[in-house]
Amino acid sequence: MSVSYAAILWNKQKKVYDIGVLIFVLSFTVLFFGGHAVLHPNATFETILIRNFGLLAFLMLHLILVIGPLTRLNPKFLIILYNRRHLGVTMFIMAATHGVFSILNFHSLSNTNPLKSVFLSNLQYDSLINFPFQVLGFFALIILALMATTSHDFWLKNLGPKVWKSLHMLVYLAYALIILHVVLGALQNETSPILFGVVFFGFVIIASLHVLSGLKEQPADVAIDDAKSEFVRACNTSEIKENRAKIVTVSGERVAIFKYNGKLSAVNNFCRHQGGPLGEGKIIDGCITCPWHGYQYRPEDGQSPPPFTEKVETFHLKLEGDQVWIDPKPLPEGTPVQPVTMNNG
Amino acid sequence: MDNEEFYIGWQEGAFIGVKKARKWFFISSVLLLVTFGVTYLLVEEKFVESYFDYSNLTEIKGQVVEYPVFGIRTELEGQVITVPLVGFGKFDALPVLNELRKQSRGKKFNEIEVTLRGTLIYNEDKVWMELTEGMESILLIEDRLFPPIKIESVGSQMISGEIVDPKCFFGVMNPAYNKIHRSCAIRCISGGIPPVLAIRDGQEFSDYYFVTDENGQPINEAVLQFVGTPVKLSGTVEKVDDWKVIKVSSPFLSAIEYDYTSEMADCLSYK
Repeated sequence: MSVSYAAILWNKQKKVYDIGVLIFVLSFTVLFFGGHAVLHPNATFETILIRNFGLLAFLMLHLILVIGPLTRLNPKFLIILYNRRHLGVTMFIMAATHGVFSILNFHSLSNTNPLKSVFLSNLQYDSLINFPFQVLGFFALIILALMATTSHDFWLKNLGPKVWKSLHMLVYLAYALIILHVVLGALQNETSPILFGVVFFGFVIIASLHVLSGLKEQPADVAIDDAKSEFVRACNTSEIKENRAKIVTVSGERVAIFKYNGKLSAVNNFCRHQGGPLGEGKIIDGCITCPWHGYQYRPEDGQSPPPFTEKVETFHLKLEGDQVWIDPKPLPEGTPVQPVTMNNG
Repeated sequence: MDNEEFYIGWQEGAFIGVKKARKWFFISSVLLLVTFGVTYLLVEEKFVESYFDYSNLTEIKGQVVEYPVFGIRTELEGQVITVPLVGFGKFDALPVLNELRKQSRGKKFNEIEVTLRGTLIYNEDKVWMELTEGMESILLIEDRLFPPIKIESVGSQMISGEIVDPKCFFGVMNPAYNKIHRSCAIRCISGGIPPVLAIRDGQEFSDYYFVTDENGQPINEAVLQFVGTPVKLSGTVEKVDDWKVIKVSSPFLSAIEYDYTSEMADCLSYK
C-alpha cells in the first residue's frame, strides 16, 4: 500500500518473482536460438527473433490467465498472483518486440506506410482462411499496451478500480484475438498437427480452470435478498471461521461478513485496489486484509487505517440466536457501523 | 490464536506452504514451456536453403537484359545464367536500368558489358542480386558485342503453384511463402519486384516461372490479390536461358484462378 506515487515498491517477494521471470525468458531465448542453430541452420535471424518473442508472449499469456482461477481453487497460489502485473508487463514487452519486428520485417522499406500496410496489404477480410491475421495481432497488442501502461497503481487510482478492472478484463478479448492470430497465421505455415493440438490444449486448460473456479464461487453469487427485503438471513455464525469471512450476495453485490474477537462486521467484498475478494482475506492486526495485495480495511467502518484513504461500503447486521441477518442496503463507503457482538463470543 | 497460513505480499517472508506453491508453479511452468519449446523445434517446418549475403557486396560483369526481367547475364561456374536485379528494400531496380540506358549513350544492351555491384541473394537453384547502393551499383560500362539471347517457345500450359515475391523467397527472408508471408510479398510485388510462380514437388519447391502478361510486360498489380495462395495459371510458356516465363492470356483475371483443390488438400492433409 502507498499513499503517494512511487515507481515500484520493491520487496523480497517481488525480487524473487522477477528474477524467476527473467531467468525463464533468458533460458527460453537461449534454448530457442541455440535449437535453431542446431536443427534449423537455414532459418534467418529475424525469423527466429520474431518467433521466439511471439512464442514467449503466447506462453506467458497462458500462465497469466491460469493464475487467477488457480488462486481461487487454492489460495496458496496467491504468491504467484501478488506480482502478476510484472509478469503481464514482461509479456507485453515480448509481444511488442514480436509485433514491432514483424512490422519492420514485413511492412517497412516499401511503397506504403508500414502501419497502413498492416491493414491494406492483404484485403481478404471476407475470407476466413485468408483473413489478414496480422490485423488481429495488432489489435491484441493495442489492448496489451493499454493494460501494461495502466498497470501501475497511479492509473488504478485515477481511473477508479471498476474502470481499471473492466479495462484489464480486456485481456480475455486479447487472448481470443491472439488465438485467431496464431491459428490463421503462424499455424498456416506449419504441417504438424502437434502444434494445433498444443494451442487447443492451452485453450482447454484455461477454459477448464475458469469454469472450475466459477463453479466453486457460484454458491456465493446466489442472491439471498429481493428488492423489498430489509434484513435477510445470511448464514449461521458457525459457518464463519474466526478472523475469516462468509461471502453472500445482496443488492447485486458480494458482501463479506467477518467474524473476529466475538464480533461480526460486513463490508463490500470488492477491494478498492484491484477488486480483490476481501471475503477471501483475513483479519490481521484488527484489519481486513485483502488476499491479493494486502490492502487493509477496518471491519467496523470499511476504511483503510491512516494514512491510507481507501474505503468500502459497510452493512448493518443483526443476530437472532446464532443466525446472522444482513440489511441489503449498502451504507456509503467508510460509514461506521457498530459490530454485532456474539453472546458466546 | 489463529495460526492458519495467510500470504501477504508486502511482508518480507512467506510461509513454507506458499513458498512451495511458488516453487511448484515455477518448476512446472518451466518444464511445460521448455517441453513445448523443444517440441516446437522438432516439429517446426523445415527451412529451405537460401541466403542473403547481407553486408557483403559482390561484383558481377555481364550483359544487361530487360526480358523477361531486368537482370545481368553472366557466366558462373562455366554456365551462362541470368541474375535478376532488384532494388533496396521492397522495390525494383528500374531507376538503375534507366541510368544504364543514359550511360550507354545510345548503344543497345547487347553492345555493352557492365560491371555491377550488389548483395547476392541465392538458393541452390537461382541467384539474384540486390543493387543495394542504387546508382552507385554501376561500376563500369565497356564496349562488347553479345550474341542475341535465345528464346524458346514451349507452348500453352496450365500450371499450379504459388505466386511469390522472389527477392524474399530466394533468400532475404526464410520462410517467404504461404499465407504468413503474404502481406510482405504483396508489398514487394507492388513495389515492382517481378512476381514468380513457384512450383512445389511434394514438400520441396522445384521449378519457377516469371509471370507476365501475354506481351511479356509486367502484371504486378493484377496478381496482388492472388499472392501467397495456391493458384492455377494458364498461358504460353517460354524458356529464356535458365529461366522460364509464363505469359498469361488476357483478360488476365479469367486466366488466373485460385487452386481450390490444392487449398482444400492443404487444409485436409496439412500439406
